[in-house]
Amino acid sequence: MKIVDTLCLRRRLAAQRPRLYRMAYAWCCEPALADDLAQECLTRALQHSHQLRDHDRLECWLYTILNNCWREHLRRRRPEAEFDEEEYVCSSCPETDSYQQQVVDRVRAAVASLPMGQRKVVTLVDLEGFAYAEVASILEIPIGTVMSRLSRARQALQSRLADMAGRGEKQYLRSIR
Amino acid sequence: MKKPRQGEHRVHAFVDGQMTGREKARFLDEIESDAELWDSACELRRLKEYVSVAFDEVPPPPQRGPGRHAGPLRLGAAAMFLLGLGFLLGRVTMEQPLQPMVAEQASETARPAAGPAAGSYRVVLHIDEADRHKFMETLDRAEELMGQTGTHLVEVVANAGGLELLRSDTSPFVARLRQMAAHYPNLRFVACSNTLQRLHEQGIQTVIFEEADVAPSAVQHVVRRLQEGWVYVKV
Repeated sequence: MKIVDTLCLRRRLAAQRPRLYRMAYAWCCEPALADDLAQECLTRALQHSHQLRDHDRLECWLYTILNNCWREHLRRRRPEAEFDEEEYVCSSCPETDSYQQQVVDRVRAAVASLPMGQRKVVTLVDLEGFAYAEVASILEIPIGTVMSRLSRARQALQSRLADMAGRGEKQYLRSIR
Repeated sequence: MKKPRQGEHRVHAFVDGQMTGREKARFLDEIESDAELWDSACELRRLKEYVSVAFDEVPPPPQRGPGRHAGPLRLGAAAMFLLGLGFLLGRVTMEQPLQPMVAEQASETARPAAGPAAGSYRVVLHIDEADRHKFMETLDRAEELMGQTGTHLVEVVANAGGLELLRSDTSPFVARLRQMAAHYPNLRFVACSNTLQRLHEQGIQTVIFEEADVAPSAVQHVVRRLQEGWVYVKV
């Protein structure tokens, strides 16, 4: 690869860092770990940049790497346990019942409580706007699985956030009186 | 949890923009006469917005410091240290060449607070071997970078054997150096004062190409550039 191409790729990768970090944070709920995952993803991308044939698919390729980094981290953390990402639920992000908590925190907690497989699908679609086919490629699962996980994830989110609008309306009515 | 119905996938595909034009037109016709479908699409759209907004601004990553455990991802500080160490060892042991991979990693992890403008590069080309082919490669790379669209800053830093490139008494490319220096105002040639001093101590008289600058130490110069976010290329 010519030096100019390398520099262009480095710049494009650097520009992706905040988005990779955000996605990693949405998956793991830990800023330090998310930072490490984003960094590891970029390091691997640079090391294997020759494998990127189609530069238009850079984002899909990067998120595939990020997903691999995340899976490897989970395997390292639980080396003796069989990992089922459908069952993985983030227990370190408790959802609170208080309306005083910001909407952002409620939604994040709801997302964090999703099984990992669903969490990844819903964040890739809603945060990065990936097409279903792209998500299937990134996560290496059939497109039908993407659709069913997305449907289940949103069903669960709706259920967990159902009271938010209702309480918001009440609060709103109180505040104008 | 109940299994998603087939029809639900269509609502998701609609709010996610996954339908073809024809599918979307048909769905819009359908949704107009189906209040339940309409509500469902509105709910999903609202939910999608919630998720998007919730992660608009995520907490910043913690500072990388001694408090965080060492891992394969935290090569930045180590690479910077090894780079400096490599230079120092080079000074002591007849200026052995640097490990380019370490320097590459260091440049990857150097994240400047304020980077260069879009479409511009800041690159240090480092040469430390007296090799005619490498001299040529260094100048070719510098020209290649300067020839790109945008405002670029390129520095050719020479030390150890590489200093011969910038010595008018030894360089086979003096004419080309002069031509490049005149043609590219953002191209700078930097010679290492430590190497000059060592040659002087050995009784070797050196004449540096007149357009070249002299840095007190190539070590400090390159490390400073890395800290400023320049890209390091070992030729």
